[in-house]
Amino acid sequence: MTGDRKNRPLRWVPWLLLVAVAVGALVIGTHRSSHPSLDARVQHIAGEVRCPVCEGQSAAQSDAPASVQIRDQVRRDLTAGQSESQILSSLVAAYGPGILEKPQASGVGLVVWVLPVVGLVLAASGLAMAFARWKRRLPTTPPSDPDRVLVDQALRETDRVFD
Amino acid sequence: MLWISLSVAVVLAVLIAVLASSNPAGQGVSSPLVGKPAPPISGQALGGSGQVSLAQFKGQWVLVNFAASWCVPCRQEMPQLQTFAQNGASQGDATILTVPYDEGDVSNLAAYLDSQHVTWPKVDDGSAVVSYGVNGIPESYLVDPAGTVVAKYVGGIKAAQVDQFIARAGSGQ
Repeated sequence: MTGDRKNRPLRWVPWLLLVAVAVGALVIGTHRSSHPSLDARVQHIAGEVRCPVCEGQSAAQSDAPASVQIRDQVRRDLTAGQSESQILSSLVAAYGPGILEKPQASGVGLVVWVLPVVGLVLAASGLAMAFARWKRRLPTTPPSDPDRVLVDQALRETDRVFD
Repeated sequence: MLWISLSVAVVLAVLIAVLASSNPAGQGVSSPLVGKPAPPISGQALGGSGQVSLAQFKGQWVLVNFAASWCVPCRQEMPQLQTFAQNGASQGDATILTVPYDEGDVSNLAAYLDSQHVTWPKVDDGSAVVSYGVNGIPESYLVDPAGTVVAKYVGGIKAAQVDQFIARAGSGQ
């Protein structure tokens, strides 16, 4: 007992270490993300943009000349002090809204965001209605006396056959 | 059950309609710039001295032509460009403005164009490729005398086609 009391503070040491590491990682990670380098910003914005000539790659991933040109232009615009939204707007003005990796949440692009939610709601509603209907179909009345007599007769016949 | 089936059918129909009407980015000859003011182009003259800009040609039709010395279809397009340039020069209302695309050393393009005795202006503006949404070359944009982009040509122009467009625009069709 006395030994347990002495060890009690030591039990918290691993947890305290874990908290210290987690807090430290959060501080470092937050600090790093709040001051990204120019390269990191270029990659981030180019990652929001599709490669105009290749399937399935962003302008950050592709080495196609069109993507390289986009990355170079993004770098020039960032150096000139433009914001991410200004740069993306310029690219949309030149290439069209399809240049963005994520559809814009306005106009026709809104359909892409709303459709899955609508589908999920419809599916869930359909299932709920189906379950409710199945539950209503389940018999709720107890068996009648003639039914019980029939079952007893059938069970006696079964016992006689297997005896 | 019927209204659930109808709802699903409506949602599917809308999805199909949206997907069928969407325009793959960067393909074909549609461009979000058509009907809008031409993005500015300015820079050092290729193979020469001084500054060249799109704005100095306001009042004329300008075919902004993106090309590179290594581009085989661009070289195949050259006779058509020369025909268009000659027609424009003779009528005094049209010119070409060549802009390098992914040309590591722009002097290569300048040398090639000199070898073809090209007399129309050429300008080194690295930002024009993205501001015009160029996906590949040869690609050209026709800018009217008011400075509006009126057409985009992909894969090489036909001089007669562009001349016809200009003639129709001039007659108000």
